[in-house]
Amino acid sequence: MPSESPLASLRAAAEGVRQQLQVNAFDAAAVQRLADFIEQQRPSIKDSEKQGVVTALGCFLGQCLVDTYGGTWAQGPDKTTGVGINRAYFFNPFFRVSEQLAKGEAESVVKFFAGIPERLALKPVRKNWIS
Amino acid sequence: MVAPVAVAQTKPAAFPAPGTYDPFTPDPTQVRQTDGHAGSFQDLQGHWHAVQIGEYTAYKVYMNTEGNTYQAYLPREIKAFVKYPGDTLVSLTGLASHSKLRGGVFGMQQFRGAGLQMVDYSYTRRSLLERVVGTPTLTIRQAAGPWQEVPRSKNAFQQLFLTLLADDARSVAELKTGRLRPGRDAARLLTDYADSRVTQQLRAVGTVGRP
Repeated sequence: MPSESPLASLRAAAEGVRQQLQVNAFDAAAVQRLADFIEQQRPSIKDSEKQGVVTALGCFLGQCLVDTYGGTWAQGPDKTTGVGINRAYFFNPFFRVSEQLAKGEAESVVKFFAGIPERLALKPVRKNWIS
Repeated sequence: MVAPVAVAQTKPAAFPAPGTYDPFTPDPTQVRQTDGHAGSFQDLQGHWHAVQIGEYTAYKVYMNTEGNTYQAYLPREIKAFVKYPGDTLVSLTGLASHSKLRGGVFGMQQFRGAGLQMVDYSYTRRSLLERVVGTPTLTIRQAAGPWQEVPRSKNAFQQLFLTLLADDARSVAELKTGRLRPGRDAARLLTDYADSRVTQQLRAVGTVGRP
């Protein structure tokens, strides 16, 4: 029986957010739009909505990592879902979204996203997640 | 400014006539912006025209062909517009179940193939947050017939899709499991259905071997 894979669900959620944010691609400009959206919505998001918001926006940020930095959706060492890059680095986009939601621009997803190349340039650690 | 005469001539009086404004009042059907996107639109006669797509909402889209002045177009004035690389927004008019939306709205096309077209008009929700994380608001039509709402209840969704996809045994079997989520699984179901139809047609002409 065909059924939607977890990967297809993540991508579908990311695509839904992309369409609503009216951005053209999963790139740095899209992450800027995401950060603006989070800042704009932070004061009004109810606790009951937070989980859904983090999930949807995390899928979007994760897909930006996949498309921009050649990452792959993967399961981390602690069994969380995230994005592995260069078979050496693992990032949790859901955590990054929740951080900006909680702490504001000091934890902006834009800063995180822009800092990825620098982190990738560091000495790689051994791959310890499943993709 | 968007050029096609056919569209300009059919443009209804969606806003008060220009003569009623103070001469220094900006034309409310126009905005100035510099960051439009390449795209195209389909006029009411079905012809496509290249344009720059500006801002858009569920109720209007700003388009132009040159300069920074964008003209507003309403859903009843065009059939569809595409913002490249691939977002297609379709005019939905005469949505029977929504009296407030009868003037027409733009919805994002989620699927088109195998004679079926499905559009999400979540853009009509006021809050962007609701649009981003809420369940899609879907409408579907077969062979360019009237739009019908994709039901949110599992039973009604199952009934509608069993009718639409009745000629594909695999889709019918999956629908009968009753495990599908109406809003979330509709597009994937349609994609699988269209793939299956193509495979059937290829088999019929002997291009694809039977398993």
